Amino acid sequence: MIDIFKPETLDILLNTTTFSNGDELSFNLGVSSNMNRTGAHSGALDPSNGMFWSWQSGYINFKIEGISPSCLTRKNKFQFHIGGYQAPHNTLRRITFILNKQTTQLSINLDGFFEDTKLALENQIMVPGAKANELATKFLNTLTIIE
Amino acid sequence: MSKTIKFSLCSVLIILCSSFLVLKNKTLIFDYPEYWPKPHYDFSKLSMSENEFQLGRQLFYDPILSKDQSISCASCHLQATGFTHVDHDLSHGIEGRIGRRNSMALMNLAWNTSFMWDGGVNHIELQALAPISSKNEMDSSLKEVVDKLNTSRKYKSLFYNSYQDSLVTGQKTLLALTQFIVMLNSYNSKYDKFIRNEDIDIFTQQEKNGLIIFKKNCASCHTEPLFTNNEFHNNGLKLDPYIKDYGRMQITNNPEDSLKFKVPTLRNIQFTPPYMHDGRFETLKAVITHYSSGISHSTTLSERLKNNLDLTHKEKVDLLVFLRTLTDTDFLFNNRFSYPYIN
Ligand code: HEC
Ligand code: HEC
Repeated sequence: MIDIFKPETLDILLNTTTFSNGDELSFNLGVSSNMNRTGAHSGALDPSNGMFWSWQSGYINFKIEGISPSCLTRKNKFQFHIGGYQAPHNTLRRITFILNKQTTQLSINLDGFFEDTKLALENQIMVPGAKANELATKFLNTLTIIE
Repeated sequence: MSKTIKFSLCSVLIILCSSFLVLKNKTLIFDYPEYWPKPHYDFSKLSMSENEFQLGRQLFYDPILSKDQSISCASCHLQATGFTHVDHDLSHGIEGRIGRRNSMALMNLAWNTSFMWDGGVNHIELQALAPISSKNEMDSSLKEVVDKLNTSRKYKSLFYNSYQDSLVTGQKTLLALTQFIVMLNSYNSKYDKFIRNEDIDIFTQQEKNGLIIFKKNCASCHTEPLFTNNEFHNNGLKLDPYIKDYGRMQITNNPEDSLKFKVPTLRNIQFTPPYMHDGRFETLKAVITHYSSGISHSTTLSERLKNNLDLTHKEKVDLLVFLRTLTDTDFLFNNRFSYPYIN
C-alpha cells in the first residue's frame, strides 16, 4: 500500500531482479475481484487500513483528497475514493511498461489526473460505478517511467 | 442427535496440534442437520477453536467496539429475541442516534450469500465493519477498535490464546467476531422435530394446515429449511416517504432492484418483532394481513405476490400458528451464546 505522506511506502525497490532491454514491468493498480469477494484479509489488505468500504463491501483502490477553491463544498474539499470490482465497473487497472534501461523509476504526476477534471462539477466520488470507472482510467495518465 | 452431521476443519487442526500450547483448545464442531444444504461460507480462515469462539463472544458483548464505549453488538442483537432488537422499529446507536433500518435477527449465517437488508455486505467476515463505522451505530472505525484492543491486557492475552500472537489486527478482530456469529445455528424448533419425525404427534392438525398454506404461498421466497432463498424481492411494502429506502437499488444502481430487500429467515419469527426492514409491523397478524390483502402494487413487485392471497380467517390463523412452530428455545436459551461472565 502506497501512501504519499509516508515516504517509506514510496520505495518499492526491485533491485534484486535484473532487467534487460525490452522487458516488461507490469502490475495491478488496485485489488483483484477475487480478493474483494473473499472476506477479511491481512497486511496491506487489512480492512483497518481505511481502504475498505463498510456499507458496500469492496476495496478502495486509490484515494485522492484535498482542497481546492473551485470546489463549492464544505471547506472546499474534494474526495475521490475509487474502487468497485463488479463488471461492468471493475476499477482494477493492469499497468505495463516496456523497460529500456537498467535503472528506471516509476513516477506519479497528479497533473495527469486533474488536467481535465472540473473540480467545480466533480468533487465527490465515493461509490463504485461508471464515474469511478472513468476516473480509474484517468489515473493511468499520472504514471510514467523515468529512465 | 442421529440426524445431525458433524463438520469440522481438519486442515487447520494439523497445524494447531503440533503445538502443545493449544491442546487445551477444544475444537469446535459446526453442527447442522444432514438434509440441509452445505454452508455457503468457506471456514478456512477460522481456527475453529474454543479460544477463538470465546474471544469473538467477548467482542460481541463488549461496548469497547463503539466510540464512547456505550454500545455493543448485543445492544441491537439480543439472544432472547433471536439476536435482534425488539423495542425499536429503527435501530438505536450511540447517543441515542437512530439508524435507518430495523435490526436483523442473527442465525444460520453460514448459509447467507449476502448480508444486510440490501445485501451490501458480500461476506460474513466483513459484516462487523458496517456497524463499527456507521455514524448512527457505533461511530468508530476498525482502526480505532484495533488500537483500543492493543492497549488492553485482557484482549492481548485472549488474542494470544487464539492466534499465538498478541498483536491485534483488523483481520483477526473480524475473524474472531465471525467465529462467534457463525456458530449461532438454529435447527431444533418444533417444526424441525416434525420434519425429522422425532415425534410423530408433535404437530397439531392446525399446524399441519398452516404448513400447507405456507408451502403454497410463502415458501417460494422463505424456502425451507433455512426459510430464505437468499434472493431480493419487492414484497409489496409501500415506500416510506420519510426514510426513502429503495433497498437493493442503492447497491446495484439498477432501477429493476428498486424496493427489493433481502428475503429474511422466518426462524424464531415469533420473538423478533417488529417486522420488515423498517420495522413497520408490530405483530405477525399484521404481516399476514399485509400479504393477504395489503400488497402495494409497483413495477418491481414480485410476480408471486401480484394476486392477493385472499386467505380466509381460518387460514390466516393456521398460518400464524405454523409460524410459531419455528421457535427454537434450545437456541434462544443456549448458554454458550449468552453474555460471557468471565474474569
Ligand atoms: C445500532 C444497532 C446495531 C449494532 C450496534 C450492530 N448491529 Fe448488526 N445490524 C443492525 C441493523 C440495523 C442491521 C441491518 C442493516 C441494514 O440492512 O442496513 C444489522 C445487520 C447485521 C447482520 C446481517 C444479518 C443478515 O442476515 O444479513 C449481521 C451479521 C450483524 N448485523 C452483526 C453485527 C455485529 C457482529 C455487530 C457488532 C460488531 C453488530 N451487528 C452491531 C443493527 C446493529
Ligand atoms: C416474493 C417473495 C416473498 C413471498 C412470496 C413472501 N415473502 Fe415474506 N418477505 C419477503 C421479503 C423480501 C421480506 C423483507 C421485506 C422488507 O423488509 O422490505 C419479507 C419479510 C417477511 C417477514 C418479516 C421478517 C422479519 O424478520 O422482519 C415475515 C414475517 C414474512 N415475510 C412472512 C411471509 C409469509 C407468512 C408469507 C406467505 C404468506 C411470505 N412472507 C411470502 C419476500 C417474500
